[in-house]
Amino acid sequence: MSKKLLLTLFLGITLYSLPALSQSPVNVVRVKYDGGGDWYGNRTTFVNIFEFMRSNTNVVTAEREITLSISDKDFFRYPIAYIAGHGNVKFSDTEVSRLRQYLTSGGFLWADDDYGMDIHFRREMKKVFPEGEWVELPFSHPIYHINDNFPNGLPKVHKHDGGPPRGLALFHEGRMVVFYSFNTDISDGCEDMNVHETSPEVHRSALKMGTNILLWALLH
Amino acid sequence: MKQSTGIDNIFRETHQKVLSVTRKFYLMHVMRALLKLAAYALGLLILFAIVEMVFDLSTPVRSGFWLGSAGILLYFLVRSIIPDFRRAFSPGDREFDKISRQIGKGDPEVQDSLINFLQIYREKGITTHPAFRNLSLKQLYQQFKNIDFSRILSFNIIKDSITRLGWVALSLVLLFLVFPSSMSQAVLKVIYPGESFEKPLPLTLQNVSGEINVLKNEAVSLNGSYDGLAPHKLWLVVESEAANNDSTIIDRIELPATVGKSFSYEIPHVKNSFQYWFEARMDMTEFRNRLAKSEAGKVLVKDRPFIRELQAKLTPPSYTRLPEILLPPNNGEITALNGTTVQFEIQANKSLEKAWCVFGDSTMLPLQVIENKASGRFTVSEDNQYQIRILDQEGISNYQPVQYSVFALADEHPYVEIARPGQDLDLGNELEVPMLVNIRDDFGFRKLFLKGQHIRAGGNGDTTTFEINIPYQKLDQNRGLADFRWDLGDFYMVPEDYLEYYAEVFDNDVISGPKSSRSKTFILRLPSLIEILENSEEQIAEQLDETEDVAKETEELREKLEEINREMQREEELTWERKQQIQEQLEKQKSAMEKLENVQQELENLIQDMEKQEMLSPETLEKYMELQKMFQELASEELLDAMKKMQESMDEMNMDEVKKAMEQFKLSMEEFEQKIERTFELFKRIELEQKMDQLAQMAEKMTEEQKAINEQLENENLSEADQQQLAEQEESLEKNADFFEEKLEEAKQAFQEEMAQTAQELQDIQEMMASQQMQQQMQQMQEQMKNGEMQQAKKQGENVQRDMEMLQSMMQQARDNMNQAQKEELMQAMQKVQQDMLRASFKQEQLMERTSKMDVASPQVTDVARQQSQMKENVNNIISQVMDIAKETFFVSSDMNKMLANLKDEMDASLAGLENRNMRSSARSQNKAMSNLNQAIMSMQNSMNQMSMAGSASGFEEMMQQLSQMAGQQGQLNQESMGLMPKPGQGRMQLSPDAAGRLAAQQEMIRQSLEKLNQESGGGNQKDVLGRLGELGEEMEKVIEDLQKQRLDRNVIERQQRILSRMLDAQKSVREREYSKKRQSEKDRNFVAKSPPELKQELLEREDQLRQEMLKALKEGYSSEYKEYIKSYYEILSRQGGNARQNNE
Repeated sequence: MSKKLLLTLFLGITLYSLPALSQSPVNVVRVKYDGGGDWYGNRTTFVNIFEFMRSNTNVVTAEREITLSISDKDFFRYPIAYIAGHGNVKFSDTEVSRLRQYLTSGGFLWADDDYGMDIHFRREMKKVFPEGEWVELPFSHPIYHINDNFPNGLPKVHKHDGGPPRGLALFHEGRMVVFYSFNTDISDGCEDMNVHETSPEVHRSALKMGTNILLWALLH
Repeated sequence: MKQSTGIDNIFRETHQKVLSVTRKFYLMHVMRALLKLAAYALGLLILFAIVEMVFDLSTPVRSGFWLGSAGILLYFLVRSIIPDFRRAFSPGDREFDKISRQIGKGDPEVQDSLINFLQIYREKGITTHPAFRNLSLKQLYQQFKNIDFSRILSFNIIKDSITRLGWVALSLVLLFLVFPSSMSQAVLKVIYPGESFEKPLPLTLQNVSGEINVLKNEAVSLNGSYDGLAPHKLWLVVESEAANNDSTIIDRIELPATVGKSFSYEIPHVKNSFQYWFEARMDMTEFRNRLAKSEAGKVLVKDRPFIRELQAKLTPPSYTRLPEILLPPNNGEITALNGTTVQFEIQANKSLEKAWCVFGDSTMLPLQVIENKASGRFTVSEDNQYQIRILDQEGISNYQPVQYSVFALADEHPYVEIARPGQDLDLGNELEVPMLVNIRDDFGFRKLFLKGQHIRAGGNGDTTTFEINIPYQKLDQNRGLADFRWDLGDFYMVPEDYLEYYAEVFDNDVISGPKSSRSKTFILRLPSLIEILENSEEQIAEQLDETEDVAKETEELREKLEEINREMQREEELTWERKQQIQEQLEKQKSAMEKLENVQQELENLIQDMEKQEMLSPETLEKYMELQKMFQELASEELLDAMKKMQESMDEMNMDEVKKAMEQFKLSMEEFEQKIERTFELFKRIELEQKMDQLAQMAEKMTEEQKAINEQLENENLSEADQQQLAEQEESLEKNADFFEEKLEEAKQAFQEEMAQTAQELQDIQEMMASQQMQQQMQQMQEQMKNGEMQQAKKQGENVQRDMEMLQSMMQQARDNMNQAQKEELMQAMQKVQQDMLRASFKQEQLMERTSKMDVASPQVTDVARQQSQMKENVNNIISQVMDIAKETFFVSSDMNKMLANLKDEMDASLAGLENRNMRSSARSQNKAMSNLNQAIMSMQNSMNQMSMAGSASGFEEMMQQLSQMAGQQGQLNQESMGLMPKPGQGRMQLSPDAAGRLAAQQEMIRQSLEKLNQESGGGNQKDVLGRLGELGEEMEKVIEDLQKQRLDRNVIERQQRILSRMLDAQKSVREREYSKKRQSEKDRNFVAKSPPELKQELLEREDQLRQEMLKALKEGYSSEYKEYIKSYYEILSRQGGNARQNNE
């Protein structure tokens, strides 16, 4: 039996056992940021990912994500945060400090560039982790295999700048605290198919990747 | 014999009757005697008791008296009672005769007949004939036969005796009442004469209160009094049951000395029933060991009813969707929202008759009672107080009921804010505003509206109100947001119109009615083109001035630093004044840097605004972005480091360190000055170029506006107001055209010196506008619309639109030409400098070879030194050229500065080496100088490559440029064609073959360009747009065909005009699509997947740590099956990670 098959089999069993791990539904907090960028886009992304997770992994999830600014007192209640957009991102000094605290205290941020957020997001993250360097994850990283197998890394959804998609990460003290999906737009892929006229294959592939990311974050 | 028997019978009958009366007679006498005896006995008792009370008789006296009395009574008994008693039961003839005589005496009819009858009958033996005897007896019998003998019996004989006995008895009772104790004592002594009795105390105690009923916990007052002498000590004795009910507890409470003869004692809180009495002691020797005691009384305690348990349940109004709240037991304090139903149940200690709730405002709420429970409910509507009162079956109420408070919480007003835009806003090109309305309420909402008024331009008070119901998304029970794009298309806004708007939200309070709140009012204004341009121009000019100021300040600062540096060389110690002086310069530098940061921030905002208004071409936008980057990089790390070191060395007061730091600071400042100078120059240049952008943009906008007016004119049912409005729009457009002309003139003047060609093109545009009399045409059109001549206005509108389109195409071409010319000019300059550097590099190499081979004592050293000096001059010249180029383009790398600075240093070092005849050192420096030159050449080459690729990297800009060029060419062609157009009335005109051929050839050239562009465009978006342009090919072919036939009429002109219009539209369309493509889904292509390298080990350390922690955690209680899963999971992941790393290695 190949190792990958063994891994898949094992993870299947593990994920079916996950409800025992968590009593409350898994949820994600969407980061509401300043600067003018559309933090509010991809309205159906998490509705679909959550539904997919419930159907395919037996993980209990919320119906849809929560939206909060980083300075909101409830922000730390959610272990996984999500940020996306097309434009400018601006974190206040307080937000920078709180986000760092969140991430270094066990929180995880999934950033997804909708095309146009990259430069702004990197600039702001530099404030959060001045010492941090973006590292491109190898295809062997568990985030690409934890539930569904993505032997070639992130699936490609939109063209954006052309070229292959990139899965970048920021590590803090050996722990991946930010996963940044760039040059693909997983969020758009997970949206209702008619929103971006996404093909069923791409849509499903995006949902699987979204699930992988969330599961990885949950288990780490 | 028979007769005798009859007489006997009569006799027996009569004898029986007399016997009965006789017995009754004597029994009545016995009765009278007994009554007398009783009266005597009582009389003697009274007499004896009185004597005893007065004289306290001794036992013998009492015994004697008692015996005497008994003898008298016995004698009376024997003498009077017993004989009569005997006579009653065995009367003799004497008694019969006596009674018979009595009967005869008492009744005249009887007289002696009865006695005679009895006597005759008794004398049987007498010789009288029996017949006579019988006859006599019968006659006598006849006389009393019907007489009732008992008539002689009268109770009067005992009446007196009874009366007497009554008086005596009454006397005795009275004596008992008056002297109860003494009398009792005396009677006892009389009855028991042989017994000795103590001497009675000289006081008696009375229990006045007796038996009292009292409620538990209430006070009870126990009263008593005494007769006789005052007691020495007085006690209240309380006898109560012990807790186990098996025994009793006696408490003696000493009472204070009394003033009068009454005394009392109050027990403030009675808990249980008890018995009590009073006791007293006399302070007399003979009574020392004796206590006077009152009669015992009882205090019977009854329990009040009380509430043993209270349980309240709060049910908030249903609209709040709040859950029911069960208050902790016995907590009646209520804090609840208005409209909350309070349901409560009480349990009392005993069965209740009734229960009710009394509120602070005196209203009462009867409660439903079942046995010892009661329940009720009320609704919270205001702050209040209440207490629960209960009444038990005996009518006793509860003691001091608890007063509870009711705090009514109001449903708060909802809150609404317009978070985005959140400020007054000038609208850009897109009449859609992204809106974000946040709403909050404590319990939810009903409706959200966007309300306001549309105020039309012109200040004639023409306003219309609007109200839009906005759908919103509930984030949770209390929060919601409406995130939408507000399409303002329906408002048909014209420049200078504005909307005053606010959001209004209604909550879902059904108790006191929905409450509403409004957000702050904001304004959305559609600025006029003129305003937009003037505003952006003004702001850019401000930032430019600010940058120039900083550049000047920097120069002054650098000069001052040099001066300080010179002066410091002579100083050995850092004086306070010097320190202050340096500190001042540092502060100035910080201030300059802050100013630049502000400029950069302002610039960023400005660029965003201009981008929103689509006032910038992609080229200019790119340049602005580069400029911003330059601003950000102005304060280099070296400069910051130098400032820091300077500060530190001054703090340490170390002169040597200060001098070193000053040197570094001065050098960094020189670099900073150069950079800022370059930034300023580039800024100036962009500002100039931007004028062209603005003009092109204005031309495009004016064309669009004219087109919009013309489209409205197509409507034949325009109202007078509509016509008026269109005329006003046209008037506004005319103002724009005037403004455009003004700006055109300014731009022409600005370009006059720098770019004569561009100035000339702007001049051509001016002339075209003048020749077409555009503004006059617009004025005519306004008049026509005002006068309702809509057909003429429509025609005039078409003319104006045609002129506008021509203007637009000419403007675009002028801008494109300017960009191209700039590019070429720069490219030439860069090529030239690159060649100069190349030559210099060659020469440096030759010099290096000579130097390295040269002997120290060689006479050629001087020549080499001279040539090296010349080289230095050349390099200075090159640097100057590079600096000039750098001021015009961003493509010159900032590293170039460093390379050239190093080059100069190395040349200086080489010269120094030659002067010192150090050939090896000089050659080494020459080698480095050559290397720097070569690097500069490469850098310049890169800059040239980048510049030549700029704007075409994505293909989009290239296509835009080509489209723009083609539109420009078509515009020129149209202009030429119109020039050859026959005047009105001349009909179709035959063109000369030359002219027709030339025009047809030009049109064919444009057609071919279009076709080529179509072929080169590849696919995707651009292809889509060009696909639509493809239809133009046919139009062009028709034009060519007409022209080849030397035909030029209005149809041809209109066809050409259509071609131009669609080309311009296509440009706009492409730009918009490019802008919005970021949101569009684009199909994925297959890529060759290549994994990035494996992660470094240090990044994985944490994962190992995590695994340890996870395994540790698993020891704490997961099932063995699950533990196995987790363990395997980490093992597999770990193995896979290890394999991956191995593969990578």
